[in-house]
Amino acid sequence: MTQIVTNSLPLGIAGDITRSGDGLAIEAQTMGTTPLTSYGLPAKLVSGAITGIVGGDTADLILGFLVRANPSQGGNTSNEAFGAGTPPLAGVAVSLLKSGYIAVQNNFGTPAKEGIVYVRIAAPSGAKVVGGIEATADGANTIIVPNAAFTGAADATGVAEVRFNV
Amino acid sequence: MTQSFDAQTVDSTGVFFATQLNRIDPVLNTPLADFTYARDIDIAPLDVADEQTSFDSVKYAATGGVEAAGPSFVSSKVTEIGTVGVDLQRVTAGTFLWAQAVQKTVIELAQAQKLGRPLDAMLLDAMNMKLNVDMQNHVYLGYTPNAGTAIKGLLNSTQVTAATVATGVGGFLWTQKTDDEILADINTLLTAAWQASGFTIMPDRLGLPPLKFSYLVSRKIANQTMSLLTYLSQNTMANNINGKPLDIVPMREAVGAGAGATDRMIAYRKRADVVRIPKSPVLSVPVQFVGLYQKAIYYTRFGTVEFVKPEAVRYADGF
Repeated sequence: MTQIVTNSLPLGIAGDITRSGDGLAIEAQTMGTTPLTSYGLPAKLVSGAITGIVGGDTADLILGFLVRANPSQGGNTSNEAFGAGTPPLAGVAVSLLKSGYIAVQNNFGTPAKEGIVYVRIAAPSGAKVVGGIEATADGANTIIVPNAAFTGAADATGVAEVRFNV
Repeated sequence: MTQSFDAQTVDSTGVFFATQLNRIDPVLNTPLADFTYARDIDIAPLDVADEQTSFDSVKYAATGGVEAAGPSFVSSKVTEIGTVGVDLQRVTAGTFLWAQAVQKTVIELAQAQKLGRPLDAMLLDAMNMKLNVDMQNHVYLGYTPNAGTAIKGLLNSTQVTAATVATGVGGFLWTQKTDDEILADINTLLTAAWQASGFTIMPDRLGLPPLKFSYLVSRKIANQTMSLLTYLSQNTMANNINGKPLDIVPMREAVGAGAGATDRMIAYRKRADVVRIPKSPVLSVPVQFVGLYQKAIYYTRFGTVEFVKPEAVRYADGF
């Protein structure tokens, strides 16, 4: 991601709460064995801790989206580039957006206003990772995030805004 | 395990954090951005409560003497002397309310403080940058809503006459033209605006796409004594009428702003009674404390670029 600004700014950083209204975020514990790997990903609850959506998961398991706190210590062991912030590892309390607006990384497809938000659960390839957000349906390989919609197009870095449970 | 920014420092030699033996430059390198709207247009007053802006123009009329349209020459015993009249018009334009929230939690603030990174200053800077980005786009190219009429800016107004530059011996591009042909292109543009304004207003500013500006700087006149840009700024109509060199400036929004997505140049008089944009001061609500959050909303109102004397502005495309 470039630092040069001409006639637009990126619309958000993945995981940022993008609107200042009465969004709802709760605390959650990250799972030790399989923590979420990026901010702004949808999460489910397993044994009291949150983890990413994987193969076989159904839409009703989606609890919320992982919120980015800035500044905070991440879970990465190397220096982080723009947009590459990694959530902290096990045992750390993080914030989970239950309702509101959040910036997410869209891996595939073109988000449009009121467009359906998909999560990949199978057949990953390239940027289309399992547990990641996409804007285009891919049969049984994607599930629909309930009560969620894109609010418009993504920016140059693929970050789009999602409305969830509002 | 203590977190480290470098896995190699974790397990050995008593250095646990990368920062312990790492000199960090405390300077925070902010994004590179340049906004030129404040250079190219005058800002007119506006209040955040104003939903529209308007300006009034007056037209004068006078009935003459022997001929109604002729001079007001009369005879010594005349009783029916011609009268003068005035007519006003009001031009109204919409405004746009602009708001941006700056919010952070007290925890984020405390952590930023400990890091020596001024979070609130960074967020405020980001807010200002968004304001400038929006203002820059609005001034030069206007705003196209999803539905409804597009609002035009300095470089694409339908009130301003646009023409294509003359074709030279080698072609219509400046790279194919002689110095004299380029000089003629600019003089034609300046003279057209001067003529349209009844020979009252000579443009004093010429906006060019940045790469065309760069081309004029790089190209020298035939005797190699100065760049073509310097020559043009001193030897066009503008210097001879206004008594000061033509202000030639790069405008990145002029790239592809012309008919058929060709490059466009704009000649105009930068004066508030020719073209301007109303804008209100940026205000903010008091910081609101909600749970851990501190929220502040900054708001202002943008007007629409107003061409009070569109005749004194002129576009030329395809050079």
